[in-house]
This record gives sequence, structure tokens and C-alpha cells, in this order.
Amino acid sequence: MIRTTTPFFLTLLSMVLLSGYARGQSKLQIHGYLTQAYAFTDGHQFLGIPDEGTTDYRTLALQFGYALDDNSKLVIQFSHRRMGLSPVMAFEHDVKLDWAFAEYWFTEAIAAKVGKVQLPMGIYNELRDVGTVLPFFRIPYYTYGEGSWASETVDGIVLSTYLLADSPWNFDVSVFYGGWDTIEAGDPSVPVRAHVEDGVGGQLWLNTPVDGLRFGIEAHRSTVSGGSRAAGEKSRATTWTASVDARLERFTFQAESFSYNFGDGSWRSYYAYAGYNINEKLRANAQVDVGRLKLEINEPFFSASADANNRDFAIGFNYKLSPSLVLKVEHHWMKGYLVDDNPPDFFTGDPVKVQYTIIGASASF
Amino acid sequence: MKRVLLLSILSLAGCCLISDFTHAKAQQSYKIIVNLTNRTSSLTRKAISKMFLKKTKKWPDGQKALPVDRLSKSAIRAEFSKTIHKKSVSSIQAYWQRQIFSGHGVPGLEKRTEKEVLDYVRAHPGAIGYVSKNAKMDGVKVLTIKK
Repeated sequence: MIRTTTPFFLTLLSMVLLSGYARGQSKLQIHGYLTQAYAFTDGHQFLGIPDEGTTDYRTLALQFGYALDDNSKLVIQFSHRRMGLSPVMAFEHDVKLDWAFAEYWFTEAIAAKVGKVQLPMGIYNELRDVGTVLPFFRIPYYTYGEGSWASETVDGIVLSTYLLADSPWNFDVSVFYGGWDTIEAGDPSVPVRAHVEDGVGGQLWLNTPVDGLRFGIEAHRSTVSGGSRAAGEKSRATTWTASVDARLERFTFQAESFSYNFGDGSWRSYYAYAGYNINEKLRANAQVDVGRLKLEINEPFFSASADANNRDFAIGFNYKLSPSLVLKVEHHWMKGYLVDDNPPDFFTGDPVKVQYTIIGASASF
Repeated sequence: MKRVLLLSILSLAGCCLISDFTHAKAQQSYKIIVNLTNRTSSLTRKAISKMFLKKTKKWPDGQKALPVDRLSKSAIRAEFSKTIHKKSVSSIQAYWQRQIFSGHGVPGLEKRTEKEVLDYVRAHPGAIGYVSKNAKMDGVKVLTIKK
């Protein structure tokens, strides 16, 4: 307990002591965020949340940026994450290195980041745990996973540029190359570590003349080893994501569709989110998140097929005490296969229903 | 009783919904200022907004742009935000949080007082700020907002 709460209190203390570095144009910039929640379910354990409830549910990070000159900087971010009783926690260190990269701007419009860099994928991949800007505790699970099929970062290089910057219709483009570790949780009770290499892909955002409305598409392909594969076995994987992001003054609508094709099957997911600012402080949120697993196994002595649907419907409210301090409450109705305790068999079992509630507070500086 | 309760809830919700739309349209009470050496004399609203959001990083002559804001709770910041960014201060703060924590950038300097803004703009050739229209503009240049 002491071991897992130490990073929490150290970050809290750091947030108070270092908040002065969050403003201004000094060479050293320090920022951080923290979300602490209490969560419970009505039965099954899901996403690490037991029915008796847990307060061991938090995300926090400290980010240090140092500008070497006008065109280059170094950024390091450390994070700490607790997901209650989730088996995925076996792979989480108390404090982990989130990012460590060097950024260089060749021109005003072309930049390169090298190192452990955020992976540009969809609306939320670069902002997975920043509670003060997320409507719910977690970004859509069936699209972004928890370390599965995607990663927050790539160990490699990301090149970014803007196209037609002065036009009302303009583009943000990023391409990347590298590898990353990931967690495969086909059976959520027994997640396994896999390694992705030769990941190559890109993200394209089309910004429209409507302020806050943009459309995106991302695709990448890679080679995956480890995980549930035999030793030495490697498989090719391809993903693509299509996004609509309308962030207007009072109303936000976001929808994304995600596709992941791997050896024996595919994962398709989509979500739609709507948020409405009732006033400056109070925001209402609703989201439906759907994921569908298709498996087709044809081996000499075994063949089977599965078509497993998962869905999560959520409503929630955010109350902004200030832009950097937000209270949140959310309730979810989930039906699917990905529970932590005794998950039903994809091939023969029926989906289970779980309701869960998360109440939390998020701060950042 | 139920009708009274329902009406009360609907009225309260209605008040919340319209509260943000009832701002009286007032005349702009601030001026955009730059350093005296800055060769630019006018910019569009969108160009100013881009500069404060660091989407544009340089002036036309190649000088690094140094936007200087007022603290988030100041009334002039709220007006600047509404008229230049067409967004509330909290929306802009949310934008910066997304930029910071996705590793894309950090906001510019924030100054507590008008005098601090004026001093900063006088001292930095690439600076751009805003002060109330009644402030003494000695040593700075007022930028025209192009239609």
C-alpha cells in the first residue's frame, strides 16, 4: 500500500511546489496531472474494478520540458497508474517512463521527434490519462484498449508537418516509424506481453473552416511477436482509425471507428461521444462504445469461429471547480466478454452484463 | 407538486442554458500592442488568435512571436478571448492542457498587471500583448485589427 501510494503523494507535493514552472517562457517547463477515483461494480470485476469498490484507481504524471533553443527541446514524462485489481497491473511499474524525446523544428512547419514519442493515433491516444481534458475517467476502451493493440508511445521517430496552413481547409500530418511493447488481453484474466516492431504509419487531420471541426484518418502496419504466439513466431498486423472531432463552444461530438486485423481474426470498434456544457462549470456527457471480435481458427485438429460483441454505454457529469480542477461522476452499462473474473468463452459463452460507477477528481498544472 | 418541481427544474435548466448568451454587446475595451520596432501594423483577428495559440510562431519578418497574456481571471482576458479567439477563457485553457499533455507545446507568458504587459512588450521586439484602451501606450505600437 505504502509502495503504491508513494508516487501519488510525491506527485501531489510536486504539483504544489512546482506549479510556478507551468507558466511563462523559462527554459524549463514543468507540468503534471493527477486523477484519483473511487470505483465499484454491481457484480463482475471489470477493468480492475471489484464489486466491493476500490480507491486504488488513479493516473498521474510529471512532465519536464527543457528548451535548448528556439527550435529544439527535450521532454521527459514520468507516470504512475493504478487500475484496482486489474491483471494488467502485473505489467505496470510504480513509476514508469512515459515519454523521453528530443524535438527539433526544421522550419516553422516541419518538426521531428526522436526517442520514446507519443504515437499519433486518433483523437485521444496522446492524451490517454489527462483527466482534466477527458470527459470520462478512461478514453473509449474498445477503441484505445489498455495497452492492447495500441500504445501511447512509439520508440522511434515521428515527423510532423502542416499543409496549406493559411487556407481555411488545412492539414496536420504525422508519420512515424518504430516499435513498442504492448499487452494482449484476449483473455482479460491472463494478459500477456507482446512486442511490436517495424511499426510504420501516419495520421492525417483535415481542419475545416468551422472552428473546432476536423476529420482524421490513421493507419499503420507492424510485425508482432510474443504474446500468445509460439516462440519465434511473428505475425503481421494492420490497423486503421477514422475520426470526426467537433469541439464547439458548448457542444462536443466525437466519433471514431477502429479496425485491427491480425493472424486469425479481427477487432472492429467504434464509439460516439456527445458532451454539452450546461454552463461554464457543469458538463453533461454520454458515450456509446462498441467492440466486436471475430475469430476464425482452422487448424488440422481444431476449428472454431467466434463473433463476440461488447458494448459500453456511459453517462456522466463533470464539474469544473477551475479549469485545472474537475470533479467527475460517471455510470456505465457494459455487456460483453472482457470481464476480469471468469470471462465467458468467446466461442461458446454468452456475454455478461456489468454496471459500474466511477467517482473522481482530476487536477493539472 | 410534481408539476411545480418539473417547472422549477426546467426553469433552472433554461437559466443555465441562456446565461452564456446574454452578454451585452459592448465596444472593444482593449488594444493590441507590439514592440515599437515591429514592422507589422495590422493583423486579422484570426492571425492574432493563431499567434496567441502559437499556431503561428513567427512574424512576417521572421522574428519569433512572443505572445503575452493576462492571468485567466482578469476581465480583459475574458473579453480578449471572446472577441479574438471566439472562445471562453476556459476553452482556451482546455486547448493548452491538450497541447501540453500531448507534448505539442506550452502557452506563452501570463502577466498579472497591465504595467507588466507594457514593460514586457517594450523590452521584447517580437512581443504581442493587449492592454485596456485607456492605458498609456508610450514605447509600444498599437496594432490595427484588420476586418
